[in-house]
Amino acid sequence: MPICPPQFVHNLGQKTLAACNKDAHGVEKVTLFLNSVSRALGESRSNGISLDIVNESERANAAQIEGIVREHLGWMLALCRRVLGEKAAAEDGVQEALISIFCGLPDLRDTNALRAWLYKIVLNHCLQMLRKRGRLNEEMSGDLASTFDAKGCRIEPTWDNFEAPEDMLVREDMQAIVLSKIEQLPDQYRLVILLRDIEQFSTAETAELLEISHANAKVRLHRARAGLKILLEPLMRGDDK
Amino acid sequence: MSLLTFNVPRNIKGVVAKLPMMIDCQGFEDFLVDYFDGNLTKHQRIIFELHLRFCGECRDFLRAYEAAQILARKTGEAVQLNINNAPDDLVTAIVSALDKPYS
Repeated sequence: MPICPPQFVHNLGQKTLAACNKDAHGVEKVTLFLNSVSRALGESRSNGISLDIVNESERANAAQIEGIVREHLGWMLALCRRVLGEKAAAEDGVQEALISIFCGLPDLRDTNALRAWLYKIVLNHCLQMLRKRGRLNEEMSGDLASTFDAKGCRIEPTWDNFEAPEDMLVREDMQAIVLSKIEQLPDQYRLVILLRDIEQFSTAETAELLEISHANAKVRLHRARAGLKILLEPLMRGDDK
Repeated sequence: MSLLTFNVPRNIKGVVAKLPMMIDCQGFEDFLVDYFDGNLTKHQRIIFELHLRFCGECRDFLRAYEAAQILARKTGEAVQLNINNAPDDLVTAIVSALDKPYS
C-alpha cells in the first residue's frame, strides 16, 4: 500500500527540482519529473489505491522516509552515475526511482531487504534508461577480445615491462582512468564489471540483478574483463608515458 | 606462481594441447571466471594449472587479466568510500520537503 499523499510527492518533486534546477537541463527535468509524478499517482489511483491517507501512522512513515533518504541517497545517486555515465541522466534516474520507492515501500523494519529492494528499483530504472538509448545489445568489438591462431594458441605480444597494479594505484588519477576505460566497454559488458568488480556482488547475484542466466553472466564477465585488460594494457606495459 | 614452469614453442603447442588433461589457450579462457570465483573442481584446477605450466603466453595473460580485476576492485573500494557524497543541496531539498509534507 502506498504511504505518500499526493501533496507530499508534489512537495518532494518541487524541492528536488529546485535543487537540480541549477544546470542547463533544468526545464527539461522539471517536465520529466512532473510527468513521472502524475503518471505514478495516476497509476496508483487507477489501481484503486488511495493515496489520501492522513493519520498518525503516515506521519511516522514520513519520518522513516526521511531516514531512508539520508541513508540511501548517496549510493543511489552514485549507482545511477556509474550505470548511466552522466550527471544529468543520473539525477533523472534517481528521481524516477524515488517515485517508485515512495509509492510502494515494503516493510521498513527489515533493513537488508530494504537495501536490496531499493537497489533493484534504482538499477531497473537505470536499465530502462539504457534500453531507451538502444545500446544494451551492442557487442564487444573484436579489438577487445583475445586473439588465437588456428590451433587455439594465444597470440600475445611479449611483455618487456609489467607494472604491478599496486604501483599503478599510486597514481592519483588511476581510479578515474580505470572508470573511463570501463566506460568504453559496450553497456552489457560494462554492467557486469560494475556489478561484479566495482559493486562487488557475486557472479550469481550479478546474474540475478541483470535477470540473465548464470552461464550468460560468466561469459559476459570474462569478455568484459578481457576487454578491460586490453584497454588497460598500455598502462601496465608503461607505454602511455 | 610457485609452479615449475616452461615455455612450449607455439609450433608444438597445438600438439601438446591434444594430450590427456591438456587444453589449448582458447579452452583455458573458459576456466577463468570459475577460477577467480574459487569454483573450479579439483580436476578442473589440475587441468588449468597444467596448461599454465607449459604456456608462457597464458601466464602473461593471466597476470594482466588479474591486474585489470585488481584495478577495477580497488577503484570500486574507493568509489564505495565516496558514495555518501550526495550533493548537499539535493539532500537538503528532499529532507526539507519531508519536513512539511502537508503544507
